[in-house]
Amino acid sequence: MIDALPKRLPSVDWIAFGAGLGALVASFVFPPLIMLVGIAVFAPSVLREVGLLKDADEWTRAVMHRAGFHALLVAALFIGLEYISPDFHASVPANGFKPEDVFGGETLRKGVIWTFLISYLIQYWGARTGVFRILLGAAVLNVAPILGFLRTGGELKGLFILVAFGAAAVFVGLAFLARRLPRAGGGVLVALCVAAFAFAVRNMGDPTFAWAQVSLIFQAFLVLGVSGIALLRDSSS
Amino acid sequence: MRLINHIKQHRARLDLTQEDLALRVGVRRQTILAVEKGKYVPSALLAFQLARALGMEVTGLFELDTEGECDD
Repeated sequence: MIDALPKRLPSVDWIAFGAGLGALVASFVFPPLIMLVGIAVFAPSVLREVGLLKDADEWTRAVMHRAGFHALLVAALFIGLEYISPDFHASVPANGFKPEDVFGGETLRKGVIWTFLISYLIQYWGARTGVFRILLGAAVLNVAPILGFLRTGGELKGLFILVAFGAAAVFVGLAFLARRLPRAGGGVLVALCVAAFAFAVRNMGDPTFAWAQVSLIFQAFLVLGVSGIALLRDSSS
Repeated sequence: MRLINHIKQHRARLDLTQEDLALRVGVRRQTILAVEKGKYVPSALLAFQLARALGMEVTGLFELDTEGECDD
């Protein structure tokens, strides 16, 4: 005999995801809220691992473990690059940003969080849906800084808004390309990742090229690279 | 060699959605989706729970696909 349906499971992941996204957007107005993003990303996984969240979903645990492994690989990559690149550090002006933060510090912290979150979501939702939603999220995040900018104002406000919406439009276009043509979308995302990496390395000696820009490029295009590889793997399987 | 399953057919036979089956065995819908698509091989515990929820024996729900396997 088939059992009656039990109540729907409470989704701690969705609550954490909403809190994390909200904190991320709100951090553009009040920067300290960025700390909540890391807590929201890792909290459900930590609760499951220590046994406080007993939702008996072994797929979620498997996805969490694999995402953790991917984050570890990225951390190892950044740490290795930092260790072997003292000349690289010496070739770029700091512009107020610590040189070691390109591969360590800031980029390492955010790279681990981004990789874990993206890997988790892509596995959980599936490559096509996951990448589609992640790229739409990236579009929203490109527009979100306008909130903080409008508050403070500035003479370049119009240009800033134009660039933000232009970048958001690119992400929306990539999202729909990834959904309609996953193989082509994956190829474009990986190509963008490689191109950005090459651009960053090529401009290391440029005195106008700040560490903050390099760090941002590594973070942003880590998102595209991971998403692109997931799409290519999914469409070839 | 890989494990194939007939969850989708038996779920359809009972007119259950993925969400219904997920609720019966206490997992998320994505877990059922991943198992049905062969992207995730469930534990023995979950395999038995799925079989029970669908009124089946485990051996009727899962089987080894030995196509392409060498016998030597």
